[in-house]
Amino acid sequence: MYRILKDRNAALNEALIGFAQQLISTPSPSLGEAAVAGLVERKMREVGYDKVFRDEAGNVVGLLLGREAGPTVLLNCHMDTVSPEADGKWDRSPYTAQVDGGRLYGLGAADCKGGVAAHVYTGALLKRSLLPLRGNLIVAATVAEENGRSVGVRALLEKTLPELELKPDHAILGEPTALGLYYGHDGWVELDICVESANPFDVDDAATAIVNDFSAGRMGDQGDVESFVLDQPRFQNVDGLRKATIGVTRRLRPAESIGDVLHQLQHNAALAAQPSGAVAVEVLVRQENQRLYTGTTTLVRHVTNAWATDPFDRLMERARQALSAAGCQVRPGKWQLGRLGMGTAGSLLVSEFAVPTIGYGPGDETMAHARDEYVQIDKLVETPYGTAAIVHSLIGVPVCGWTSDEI
Amino acid sequence: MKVLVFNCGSSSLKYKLLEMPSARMLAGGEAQRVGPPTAQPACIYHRTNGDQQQHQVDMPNHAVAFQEVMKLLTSDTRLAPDAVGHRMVHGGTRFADHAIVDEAVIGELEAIQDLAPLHNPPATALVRACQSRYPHLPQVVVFDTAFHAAIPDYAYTYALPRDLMSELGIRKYGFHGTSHQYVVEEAARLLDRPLDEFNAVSCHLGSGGASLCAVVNGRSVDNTMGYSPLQGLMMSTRCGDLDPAVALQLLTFAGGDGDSVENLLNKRSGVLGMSGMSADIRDVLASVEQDADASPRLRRTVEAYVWRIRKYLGSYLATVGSADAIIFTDTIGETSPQVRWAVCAGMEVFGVSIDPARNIAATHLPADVARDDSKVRILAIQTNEELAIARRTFSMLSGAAGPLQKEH
Amino acid sequence: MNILVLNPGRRILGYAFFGQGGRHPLLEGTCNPSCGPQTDVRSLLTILRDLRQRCASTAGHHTTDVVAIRTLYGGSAFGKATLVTEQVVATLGAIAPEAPLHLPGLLVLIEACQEIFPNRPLVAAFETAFFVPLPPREHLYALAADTTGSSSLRRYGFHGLLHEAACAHVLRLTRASRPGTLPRTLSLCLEPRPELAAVAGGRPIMVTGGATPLEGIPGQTSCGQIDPAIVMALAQEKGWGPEQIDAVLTRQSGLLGLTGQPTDLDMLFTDNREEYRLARQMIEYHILRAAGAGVAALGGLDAIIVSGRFTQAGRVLGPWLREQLHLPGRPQLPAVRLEFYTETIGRIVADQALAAVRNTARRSVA
Repeated sequence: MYRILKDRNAALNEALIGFAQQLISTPSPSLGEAAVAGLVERKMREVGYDKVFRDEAGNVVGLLLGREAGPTVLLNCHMDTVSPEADGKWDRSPYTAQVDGGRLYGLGAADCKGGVAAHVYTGALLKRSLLPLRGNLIVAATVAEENGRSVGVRALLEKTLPELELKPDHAILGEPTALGLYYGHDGWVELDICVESANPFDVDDAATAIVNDFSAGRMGDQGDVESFVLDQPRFQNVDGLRKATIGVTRRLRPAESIGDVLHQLQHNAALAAQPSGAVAVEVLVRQENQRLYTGTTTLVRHVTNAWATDPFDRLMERARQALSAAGCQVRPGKWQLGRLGMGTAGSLLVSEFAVPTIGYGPGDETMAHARDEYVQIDKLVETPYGTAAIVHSLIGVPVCGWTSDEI
Repeated sequence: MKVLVFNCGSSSLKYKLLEMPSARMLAGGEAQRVGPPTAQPACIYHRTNGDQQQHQVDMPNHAVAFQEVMKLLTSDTRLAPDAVGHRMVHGGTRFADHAIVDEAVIGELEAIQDLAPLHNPPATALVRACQSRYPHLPQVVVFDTAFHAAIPDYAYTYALPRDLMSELGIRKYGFHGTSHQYVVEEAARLLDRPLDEFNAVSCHLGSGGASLCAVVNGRSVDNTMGYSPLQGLMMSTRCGDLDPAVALQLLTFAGGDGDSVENLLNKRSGVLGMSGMSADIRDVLASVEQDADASPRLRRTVEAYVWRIRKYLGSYLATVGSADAIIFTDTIGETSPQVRWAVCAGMEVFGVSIDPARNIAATHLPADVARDDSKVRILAIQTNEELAIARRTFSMLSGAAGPLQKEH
Repeated sequence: MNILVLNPGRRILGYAFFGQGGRHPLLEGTCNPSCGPQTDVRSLLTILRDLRQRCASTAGHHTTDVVAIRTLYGGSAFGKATLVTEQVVATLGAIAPEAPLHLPGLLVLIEACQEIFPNRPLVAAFETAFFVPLPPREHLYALAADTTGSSSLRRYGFHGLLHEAACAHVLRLTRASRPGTLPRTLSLCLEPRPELAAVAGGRPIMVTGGATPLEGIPGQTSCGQIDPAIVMALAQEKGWGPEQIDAVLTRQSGLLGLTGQPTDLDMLFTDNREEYRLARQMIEYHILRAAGAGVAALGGLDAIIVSGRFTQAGRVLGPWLREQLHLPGRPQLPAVRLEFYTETIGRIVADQALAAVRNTARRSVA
C-alpha cells in the first residue's frame, strides 16, 4: 500500500510545489485572507474533493467522505500570515515565492502556507490512490489564526462542522514541526495591568513602581525572563481620571490556569502600587473586537492555552506506527514557541473541544515569523505522503493480507 | 511411593494423593476460592477412602492453600506424601523435559512465568512454597509442553523472519502434552504394542480447549496448538486457525488495542461465537438433534466443529504414515459418540473403519469402537491428568526405564 | 472472435491477444511500467489505445471482439466469469472494501476499456469465482457473525482459474478412461503463494487460502498459516501497529524470511544447499498436511494435478506427494493419477470469456 502512496505522491510533487508558490505569492494578512481562500477552494475542486465550500467565517473546507459514519479526521492549517515588517527587512521579496537551493522562500512558507498546500494535496493523494476509506477526512484552511487566536478554527468547530453533523475524532495540524510528530506546547496570555486614579501623579508613580518591581524580579515567580515581557506604560485621560495601562505577555505552562495567574499578578501589582497612594489596580486579559474578511465580527481574548495530547494517547501511537510503516522518520516532540505571541489551534481543539491533536508540518519552527522565511522542498513534498499514511491508519479500510505484488 | 499431585487453577488448587506404581488413589480434593475473599467462604473439599470432608479456611493465596492441604494430609501418617508432582502449563524451550525441582529450576521457572501469564505464576509460587517448607520432599514439575519439545524443526518453525522468531521465542510449543502422552501410553498397552513402535493420532477434545497430536514411535511429532493454545481446532470459545489478516483487521478496528483482540479471539469466538448459544458443543449438538427446525446457524456450528477435526485427522494420518490407532479423549472425546462418528465416518481411505454400534455402546471406557477389519483401531480412553502427572513424577524420581508399569 | 486478455499487475499491465481458433496468443507481453492497480484513467487510455492499434495491425486480424480482464477478487457475488454491465460495476464498487488494493483499480480499468473498446463485450474473470460454492463448514471462520463488522467474511481460494481448468482437465481424462466416475482430485497450484484445493468432480470442498491470500501455505514472502496470537505478540513486544505487522507478514516472511534471501519454489526444489533445507521441508510438510486434510475432506483420492509457474518444483513435489500419501484403504483401486497442467492464465481467461459471451448470446436469443 505504501508503495502505491509513494508512487502517486511523487507524481504530484510538481503540482504541489506550484500550488504552494501560488499561495505564498498571494498576500493574506490576518482578517484579509479572501484571495488565498479563493485559490484553495478552486484547487480542492480541481483535485476532486467530494465536497468543497466556504463557511461564514471564511474558512475553506474540503471533504473526503468514507463508507461509514466514522471515525473522522481533521487536517488544519491557517491561511493567514503575520505582516512581513514584523521582523526586520527581508533580503528576498516576501511574495516572490522563489525556489532556490532546495528551499521555497516567501512569507508564510513555513507558517503556514506550505502546510496548507500539503494538506490539500494529502486529500488529492488519498483520492488518487483509490484506497477505500471507512471514515471521513476534513481538510480545513482556516482564517485569523495569527492575529485572532484561532478564530477561524473556533467558528469551524462551534458552528460549521456541527451543522454538517461532523465531529472530528482526531486532528492533525500542519503548523511547522519540520516533520516531527508534535504533541503540544506551552500557552501564553496577554494581560493589561490598569492603574486608575483622579490624581495623575499617583498614577504615574504607581505605574513606574510596578514596572520597576517587575524588572527587578520582585513580582513573584514569573518563570524565566524569556517567558515574560512587559510593555512600557501607556497613559490616557478618561472621564476626569488618569489611567495607565501596562501590557504583559506571559507564557502559560500546562498546569497553570488563567485565573491563578490573574490573581497573583493582581496581588503583586497592588502591593507595588500601594506606597504611591490610593490608586485602583486591575488586571485583565486583553481582548478586542475583530472583523473577519467575510464581514462578521467577533470578540477575541488574547489567550492561548497550553495543551498536550498524551504522548501515549492512541493518536500519537497510531501516528508513530503509521509513519514507521510508511518508512518515514518518527521524531516526537513539542513546539518550543520561541517567540511569545505564537500559538496553534491545538489549545482550542484539545482544551475546549476535546479533540486529540498532533502536529506534523513541513516548515521549521525557527523560520516562523522570521525574515527570509522558507520551507524545505524535500520536507514539503514528503508531507502529503506521511500525513496520508497517518490518516489512512485512522480512517482507511484495512489493507492487511493483500499486496499489490502479482499473486 | 506416595505421590501428591497438584493442579493449580487461577483460583483453585486441585490435588490427589496416589500410590505409585499401583495408581491407587489414597486421597484427593480441591481448595476453592483461593485468593481475595469472595461472597462465599473459601474452603477445601477433601476425600479419603470412603470419607468426605469440607473445611472452611481462609486461603488468600496458593501458598497458604498448600499449607492447609498439607495439614489435612499429614494429620494422618498413612497419607504423608513421599514426593510431589506439579502441573505446569508452559515450559518454553528451557524445559524440553519434565524436571526435578532444585533452586536452579525454580529460578528458571520464574524467568519463564510470562509465557503463560495466567497459569504459570500460581503454580510457580506453589513450587517455591513447597520447596521452602519441605526441602527434603522431592518435587517434579510436569509440563504440558514437554511431550512436544522434540517435534522436528520443520514442524515447530513458522515461516516468519528468522531473527524475529529467535528474538521473541516464537515457535510452535503445543499443549495438552501430559494428556496426549498418557492416553498414547494407555493405548499402546491396551493394544499390546511396544510404545516405541506405536503410531497414533490422539484427539484431546475437551469442553474448553482441544488439540490433536501426531505420534510416531510413541513420541509427539506435531500438535495442532502452536505458539499459544489459540491455534488449531475450533474450540469452546477460541477461534482456532484464522487468516492472520483478519486478526490484523480486528487490531485496526480496535485502534491497536491487542488485549481486546486477544480477548475476542480467545473468549468470545469458537463454538460460543459461532452458535451464539453455548460454548459447549454438546448443547449445540443436542439442540440440532432434537429440533428438526434448529437454526442453520447451530447446524453450521456443528458441521464446522467436526469438519476441522476431520481435516486435521487427515493431516496427521498422512503425517504419521501408518497409524495403529486414533485415540479420543477428554470430555467430548470420551462422552460424545456423535462427534467420534462424524469425524471417522468416510475415512476408509486411511484404513479407518468405525463401528456405529460399538461407538454408541462405548460408555465404559477404555473402548475400541473400530470394526474388526479396520486397520486403524479407534479408541476412546479416559484421560487422567493427575495420574499422568504422578506417572511422570514417579518415573523421573525412580529412574524407571519406561513409564509403564504393570498394574495390580 | 478475437480476444484481448488483460492481466493487471502492480506496475505492469500484462496482455495476450488471441485470434479466432488459435490456441496460442498472436501478441503477448507487458505494457510500460507505472501502470498498475492504481493507474489513473488518462494513462490507461493511452496504453490501451496503443494496444488496440497493435492488435489491429497483426497480420490478418483487425478487430478486438472481446476484452477480458483477469482479476484477483470477486467475492461471493461472482461465481464465474461475468459480462460487465452497469449492475456489475455497481456491485464491484460496493464490495471494494473486501479487496481494497485491487477492486478500485479494476473499476478504473473497466472504465478505460469501455472507452477504448466501445460496444465490445467486456468480461471479468475472477480468481475467487471457482471457490464461491465452498460449503459453509469450509468457508466460515469460528467467529461470531458481527466480529469484523461485515457479514461477508469467509474463505476463498485465489488461484481459481488454474484450479478450475486443471480439474476440468482431470475430469476429461477420467471420463475417457473411466466414464461415469467423478474423480476426487487434489489440485496443487505452485505459484508465489502456493495453494492446494480438494475438488470432488468439478466442485471444490476445501482450500488452503483464506479471507485474503495471506493464509495457507507459506509463500515467497508471505507467512501462510500462523498462530493468530503471534499477531498480538508482535503488537505487544515490538509496539508495532497493524500496518507494520502486515508488512512483515506479507513481504518479509515466507521463503525470504526463512532463508534470508529472495527464494522461489523452483530454486528450493532444484538446489540442495543447506540454507534451503528447512524451508524446503517446511513447504513439503505444509503440502503434506494440506493434502491429508484434502483426502479426509474428499473421503478418497483419484488424482493429483499440479499447476502453476514453478514447474520444476512441481516435477519434484508431484511424485513426492503421491509417494508420501500412504492410503491403506485404497489398494484395490487404480493408482492415484498424477498429472501436470501447463495451460497459461491468458488462455484460460480467454476460454472463460468466450464461454461467457456465448452463454449471454444464447440467453438473449432464447
